[in-house]
This record gives sequence, C-alpha cells and structure tokens, in this order.
Amino acid sequence: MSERASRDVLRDLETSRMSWGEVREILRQEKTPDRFAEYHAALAEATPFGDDVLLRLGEYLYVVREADGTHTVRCGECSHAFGDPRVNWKLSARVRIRRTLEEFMEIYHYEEVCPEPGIAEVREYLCPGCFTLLSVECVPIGYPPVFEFLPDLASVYEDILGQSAPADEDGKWVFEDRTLQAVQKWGTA
Amino acid sequence: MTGLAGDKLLGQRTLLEQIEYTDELTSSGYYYGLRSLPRKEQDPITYERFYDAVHSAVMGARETSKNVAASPGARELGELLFALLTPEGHAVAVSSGLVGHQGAFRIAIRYMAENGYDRNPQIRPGDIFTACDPATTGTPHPGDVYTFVPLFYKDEFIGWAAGMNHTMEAGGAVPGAWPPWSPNTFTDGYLLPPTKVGEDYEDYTWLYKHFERRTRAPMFNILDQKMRVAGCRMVVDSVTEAIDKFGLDYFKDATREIIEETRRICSDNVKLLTVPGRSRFVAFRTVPYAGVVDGVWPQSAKNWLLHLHSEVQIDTREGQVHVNWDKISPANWHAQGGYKGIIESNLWLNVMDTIGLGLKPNSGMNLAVTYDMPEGGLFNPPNDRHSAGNPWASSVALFNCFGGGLEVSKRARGFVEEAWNSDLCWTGIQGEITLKNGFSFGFCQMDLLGASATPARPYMDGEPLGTAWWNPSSDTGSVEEWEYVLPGIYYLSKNVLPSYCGHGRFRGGLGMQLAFAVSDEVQEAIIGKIGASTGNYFTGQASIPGGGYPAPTSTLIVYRQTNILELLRQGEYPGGMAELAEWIESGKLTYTDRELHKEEVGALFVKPGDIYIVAGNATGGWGDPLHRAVDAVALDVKEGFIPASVADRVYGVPVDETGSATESLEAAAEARRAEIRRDREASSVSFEEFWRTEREVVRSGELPQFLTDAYAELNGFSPSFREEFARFWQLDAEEEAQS
Repeated sequence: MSERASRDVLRDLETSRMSWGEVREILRQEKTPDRFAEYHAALAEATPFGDDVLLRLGEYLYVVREADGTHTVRCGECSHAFGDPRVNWKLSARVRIRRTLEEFMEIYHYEEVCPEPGIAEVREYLCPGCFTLLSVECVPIGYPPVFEFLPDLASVYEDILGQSAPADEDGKWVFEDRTLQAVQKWGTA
Repeated sequence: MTGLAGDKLLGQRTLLEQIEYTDELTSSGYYYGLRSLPRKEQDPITYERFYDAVHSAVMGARETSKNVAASPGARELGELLFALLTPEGHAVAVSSGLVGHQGAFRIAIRYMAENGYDRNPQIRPGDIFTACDPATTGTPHPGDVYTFVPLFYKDEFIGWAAGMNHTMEAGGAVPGAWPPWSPNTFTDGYLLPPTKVGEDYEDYTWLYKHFERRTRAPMFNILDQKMRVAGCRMVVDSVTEAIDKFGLDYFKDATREIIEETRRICSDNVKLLTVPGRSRFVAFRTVPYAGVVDGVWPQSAKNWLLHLHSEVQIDTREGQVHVNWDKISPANWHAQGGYKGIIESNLWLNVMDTIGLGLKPNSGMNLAVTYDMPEGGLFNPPNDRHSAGNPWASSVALFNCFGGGLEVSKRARGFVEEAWNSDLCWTGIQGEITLKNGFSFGFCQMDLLGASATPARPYMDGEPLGTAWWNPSSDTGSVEEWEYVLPGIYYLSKNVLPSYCGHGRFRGGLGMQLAFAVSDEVQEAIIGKIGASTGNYFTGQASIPGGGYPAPTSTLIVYRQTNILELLRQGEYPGGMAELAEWIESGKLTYTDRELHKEEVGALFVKPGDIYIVAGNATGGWGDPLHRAVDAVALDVKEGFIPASVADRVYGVPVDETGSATESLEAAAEARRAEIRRDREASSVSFEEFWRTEREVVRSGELPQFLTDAYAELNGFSPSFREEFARFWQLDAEEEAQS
C-alpha cells in the first residue's frame, strides 16, 4: 500500500481494516498539512453530523457546529448533546461509581492488582443517550473530575482552517474553562 | 595549551562565561541566536555527511564499548548512552539507548563551570569526570552514572564526549539502583558530584576502591566505568577524525546548526500535528512510609499521596508547547521526588514520542517545550537535602500525563496512526543476596524494565513486552543471563498474565508475571519492588486518552517457607503461574504465610524456600469494551489472553473457555451487550446527582484520614488546586480552611 493517508485510508485505519504492514507504511509517511481536511472528510462520513463535525474530542465525542453558529459536544453514536465544549462534558454524563473490591474485580479480575477500596473510586462516564462508555477515572474519593481536553476553537478556525473565529454570545469566541461556572448553577440547596 | 590554571578554557571565555554567552544568544528564541542555518542551506549534502560522521561516532562507541561491561543492564538490555556535547553540555548527536539523559548532561557541565573546575581541578585532554549526584549532576537517580571526557582539537577545547549507563547498585540505605525507602539525600547511596576521577584516559585507583566500599556491586560498577571511559575515548577519536576531514570552523558552525535545526522541526511539528488548546491528565501514587523509618526519621513517618497533574498548553500559531505543573504535590521527605535532571530527561523522551518526528535527536528538543515547576514542588525541592532515590517511578507517571495531552491533540488533528493512550510503565526488582559461602552482592533485575507492554492505540491492542519507552534499543534480557548473574535465585516462571490489562475496544498490552524461588545456596536475601506501574491504591493513570480502562497496579506476592525446593528436587517444576496456583489449591505446594505488597517495597527479607512473585507492566485500553470486535474477544479467550468470565462480564461476549459459543456468536453478544447497557443505565446516576452525594462526603469530614491529609497538603501547597477544589465542591470559607 503506498496510498497517502486519504479519508478512505484513515477510515480503514480507524475501523481496523488494515494489516500491520499497511499501518507501518502510514507511520513512515511524511505528515502533511492536508491531514486535518482529510480526517474531517472521513469523520463527516463516519458520524451522524456530516460536514458539521469540527473536531474529534475523544473516541466517541465530537465538537459539532450547530445551525445557530454555536458549538456543542455530541456523542457520535447517538448524537446526544453534552453542551458547550468549554464546560467539562463529564458534568452532563451519567456516571457509574465502583467503590468495593467486588466491583473493582469485575474489571480488574485479580484482587492483588485492584485499586484500594475506601480510598479510590472508579468512575465510568456514560453517554445518557446510548450508555456508551466514554471515559474512566480512577481517583481518590472527593477528587473533582478531570477536564481532559479543552480545544481553543478560535485558534482552530484561524490557524488550521484559515477562517475567522466563531462568534460568541458576547462577540468573539473566548477560550476559557467554564466548568466552575456551570457547577455554580447547581446551587447548594 | 588552554585549560591550564589561570587560562581561559575557551580562549576568550571561561567555561561559565561561555555558558552565559550561549544562554544569552539562545534567549532570542533561536538556539545560539541562529536565525538562519547557513551551513545547511549552502551545502545540505555536506551538512548531512557531517552529521552522519558525528552520529556514527556515538553509535559506534555504544555498540563497541558495551562489550566492556559485565553488567547485564548495559550489555544485555542496552541501558547506556553516548553523546557528543557542545562546550556548554548541549547534545549534538546521541546514540540509541537511554536517550533521555542527554537532556540532563548540561546540568553537570554547568555545575563544573559554576564551581570553577576549569581552574581547579582543571579540564585537560584525557581527563575523566564522573558523576551520579542528582542535585548537582542532572542524573535523575544515583543509579544513573554519567562520565564526561573533554574534547580538544589541537589544544583547543571544543566540547565533550559523554557516556552514561544505568548501573546495577547505588549503595543506598536499601539495596538496588532505585532506593524507594530513602528519607533524604544521605540515604540515597554513593552520590558523586562531578568529580575528576582520572587522567590520560585512566581512572584513578581510588574510584574503584570507592565502588568496592560504598556500593554492593563493585565488579559491575567498575567495569561500567571502564565501559563509559572506553566509549568516550572512541567518541573523541572518531570526532577528531571528522574534524580532520571537515575542518574545525565547520565543526563549530554545524554543531550549533544541528541543534537549532532540531528545535525548529519540533516547533513546526507542533504547528503541523496538534490542535491548539489545553489538556489535563493526572496520576496518583501512594508513598507509604509510616512504620518504615519512624524511629530515626520522624519527618518521614507518614503516608503520602502524590498528585501528578500535568496541564499542557498548545499554541499552534507559535509552535510552542508549555507544561504547567502548578498543581503538583510538594517535595517531601521520601524517595519519589527529584531535581531538574529528571524533568529534562523525561521531557526529551516525551518530545521524541510526540512532536519529535523527522529530526536529528539532540538538545534542540528540550528547547521546544517550556514548563513551570513550582518552587518547592516534587521535582524542584526547597533544598538539596531531599532524596532523589526513585524519581523514575513518579516522574514517568507525571510525564504520561504530559504525553497524554499531546496524544489527544494529535488524534484530534487527524494523525490517528501516531496516537496511543500514553499509559506507559515499568517495574523493577532489586535487592541484595548473601550466599552461604559468605559472598554478598546487590543487584537490579531488569526483565520488567527492559520491555513493557505498549499502550492501546485507536486502531490496535497494546502488545506485551513491546517497548521500553525510555530506550529504543532495549530488550527484556534472557532468563539464563539473569540467573547467571544472580546465583541463588531460581526463575519459576516468566509469562504474560491473562486479563492483566486495562480493557477497551482495543485492550492494553498484557502485563508480565515473574515467579522466583529462593534456593538453598542463599543465607539471606533482600528484595524490593519499584516502578512506574506501582500506583498502589490506584491505576497507573487516573484516566487516559481514548477513554478505556487504565492499567492496574503492579504487585509483589510472597509465599513463606514453601516446599518448592523439595518439589524441585523431585523433578517437579511449575509450568507457570497457573500451575503454581493449582499446586497451592490442591495442597501440593505448602506455605506458612502469604504477603501482598501493591506498594513499592525497599527491603523485604526472604529465605530459602520462599517464593516471590512480581506482576507488572500492564497498560490501559482504548474505547468501550462493548465496542470490541466479537471475534477478537473470542480469539482472546481461545488463546488464553482473557478468561471466558471476563469476555462475558466486561466485553459482553458469552463464550466457553475454547472461545466458542453455543449459538450464533454475534447474536449472543448483541443480546448480552444490550443487557450490560441496561445494567449501566440502572447502576448509573446523573453527574449532578453524584456531585451532590460526593460533595456531602467532602464537606462532612467522612473522607478517610489519609485523603483528608492529602487534600490538606495539596490545598496548602497549590493555590490553583485549592481554588478549583473549593469552587467545584462549593465549599464555604470554613470548609475550605478545613480541607
């Protein structure tokens, strides 16, 4: 296989339809600036969002352009909307908590290598729409959720796509973490 | 001749003046102030031939000199490195091997410069300088030993040949090369600040006497020193030949351009390969010292939780990556902290794996990333009395978080083939054996250092024994070699451990299990277990790119006073861990006691007839296990990589132990997976509901004391962590003060 990493090649790679020899050839190829566009084309075909998909956030989550010009994190399996990419999407997920040794052993099989009950908890973040497992955290009890990836959408548009930055409610799109403001709305009652 | 007392080593400048001069030029944003690369641009073929010449010099030195060493760490696993350095200690060309260390070499050179070594003890042709003190040298831990030989051309000082290797024993309070129980620098081992240890390419006798008296593996350590000197001599000779051919002026220009070229390619790769933004990943490790050293070092009589949090900021406009470690745990009186050298070494390795494509590996890579490590932080201690016994354990976890941030970003840009979940690991076994004939020796056993599982990628499973991320030329070593250098210990088995991985659509590489028996030849033995795989109370990383399950921790299990030696004498030999477990269950293998150690262990006494088992080096998965191809799960069961119970419970593929199903496999899996999704729905809650429950636990003081102490320490050290923690849980002022 000597084909450059086109949308078809990338689709085959992500669906494991390639031999290791073919993968190795892609690994060795020169990385070129058109990759983002090719990948975008592959994602437009592979997800329910068509050309509205902007960016892949994780295995199942995408930043999607909405009709009103805003951006939303959505599940690629069922299109469930998680909200503004500047808010940790985990706040809009379902979460299953494992705390006991028996619950840990369902995943890690051997007692001797499991996390410590009473200290650690395993959080499984699930899509509320299709219950796909989106992320796993093994953290101390009481640890805030990890906000793994906050893309700077303004720079994505300007630096990668060569377009003007998207508008925000106040004008120019602002790159900032808005997770704490979102939690604040829950109140403490 | 320059280099004599009173002279300027570099003609116009002392060594320190030269370092300051270069730093000033580099503060322009371009290495050595080079805004263009004239030698490369004018004649790229000659430029590449020159690089080949100096690169061949360091590669040839490595491949030849390692045969001088007796230690299997160097000879068998290739845990060594040679490099050509500029006068300031910046690497121009490095061999394969422990490549990350080139990032730290300049720290030792700066120390020698700041302390006037060019006047006293002088820096002259053929001089040998060796060092292994982390605070002054850049060596991450005392087991990593550096040797430098100055490079002169016709009496002009023009650089250094450098060699390093991971030695077998560092002479600490507990045996091995990575002492995990070490409250401060004085228990770390034989720490040598940069020291002239020989001249005319011959070591002084006193150095060997020091190795004999202050380390537990003198024969290996002496031969390793000879290996480093031999390799450095080869570098000097080969580079001198290259200068004869290309000319001294060309050498001076091209060595600077090679470093700047690499910095530029890294910066261009940031622009090409990544998506701008911020990523955060975190790992947790526990350091249990309470009850270990209390009587003598009460400041170390506690259990710590290490918060290894990396925030990566990517600027694709400037081609710049910045790492913010403002939420890291403070330095403390235990062995898992360190100094600047461990940062620079890890940094280089992570750059190599992420944005280090298509370049000449050298110090230009360290210039491509900026970072903030707070004063008093885990790897920037408030004084030089802190231990750096075992920072490779904690720092690899920290830097996995750094790498994870770049992996997410590369995947988002579309470079799928380059992404993995960055859940890297290693496990070390070390100790000291005293035979009944009185012979005593210390050791490192590197089966699980030389080859770890690879993390899962977005398109394939991780592989067992597939990588040593810090050493592209590594190997697990042969059992026969290890038994030869570790008399008294028998290998019982060395296998992958089924289902020992993080699961996912693509599962992590399976970890390894090693079982050993202590033979009758042993009077007494001490063993320890360390490594980046040892999260102890937690998984290797808290969460990983791709969203799969992170890797389980490593573990050490000891069976006391077994009848294994009698069984061996009868010709019975267990074929692996599974058979050993059957023997235990059937009563064939008897024992008096069983101990479990998920934590790092510094010194555990074992005796003839004891069995100890170490499992480690598992990696994390990628994606939802319910999305794994059904036939891949069945094949895993058939080949013994996962048991049928895990296939059913985790992957939703109900098969028997042969990997077969009683009905259509696809239909059976579809039904079982639908059932698991319903269970996920029933057993989960909205995050807001979870937040309200968890918040009450945080506010009410119901957390275990260990975690209360840990949060208090973090909140006290890191203002940004304190603010986010308090605001996330909406703690009032009183609650914030208590947390």
